[in-house]
Amino acid sequence: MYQGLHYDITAVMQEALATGLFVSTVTIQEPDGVLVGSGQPSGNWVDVAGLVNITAINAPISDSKILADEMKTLEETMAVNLRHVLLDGYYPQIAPYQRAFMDGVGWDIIGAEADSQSQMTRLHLKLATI
Amino acid sequence: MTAEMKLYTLAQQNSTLIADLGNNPFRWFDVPMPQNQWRPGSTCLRFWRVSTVLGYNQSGLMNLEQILYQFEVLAQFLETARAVATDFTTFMGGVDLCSAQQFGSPQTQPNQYPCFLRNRRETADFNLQPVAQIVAMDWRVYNRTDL
Repeated sequence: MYQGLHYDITAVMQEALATGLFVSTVTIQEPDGVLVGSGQPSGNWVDVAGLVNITAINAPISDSKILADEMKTLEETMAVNLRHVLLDGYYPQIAPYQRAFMDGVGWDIIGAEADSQSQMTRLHLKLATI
Repeated sequence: MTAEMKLYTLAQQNSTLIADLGNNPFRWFDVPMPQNQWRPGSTCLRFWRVSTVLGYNQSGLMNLEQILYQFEVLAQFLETARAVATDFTTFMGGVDLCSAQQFGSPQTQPNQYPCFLRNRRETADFNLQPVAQIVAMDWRVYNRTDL
């Protein structure tokens, strides 16, 4: 009789996906590597192969309080939004130098965590505007 | 009229600055900057009065003030910020806030040059998406408060 956990582990994301809660779409992008002007990145982003249109849950960082922050200074008011995103699978190649283009908005990847059992990936995203 | 009002009045009639900073809105901001103005391609200029030295003579307070301003150009690309800062420097070369005639816009050839660029440096606001490249300038501006 097989007593390993493999089936249970692989079932976790399958069950999560079956709930229908993964309603967001994430495409991981990276700088196009083109330098303009005096050697500055072009500011354009290109999709990373294999990381396009990943279904995801786009959740707030905390369900107990709003963690988005607005900092008022002499020069400007900076608004910071943070998101906690669960991707539908294991994508260890995602790195913080990339960005997540999610539901039409480009988010800065602050952290990317692939789980120990190779089943899921979590992203910590930030969007700061003035 | 304050020096800020004079500068704004002159700047918003300067075609070079309009090309750089846009028209309606003219992104020339007395700080704090209004929110949601910074975005790719929208170069902004913001400034604030750092200090004001008032002139005195033996009769008391004069109507001449010596203002230190900090101006900052925010752009998506540093080369853009540099170019706009240079345009702004050219604009300030034609500004004389000590003469009523020259303040009659559009500005004419000044016979004085009472605006001094004291320093120019470069920085960035890395938290933003996209990053804002900034050229900051310190200007010493003389202003007649009675005009």
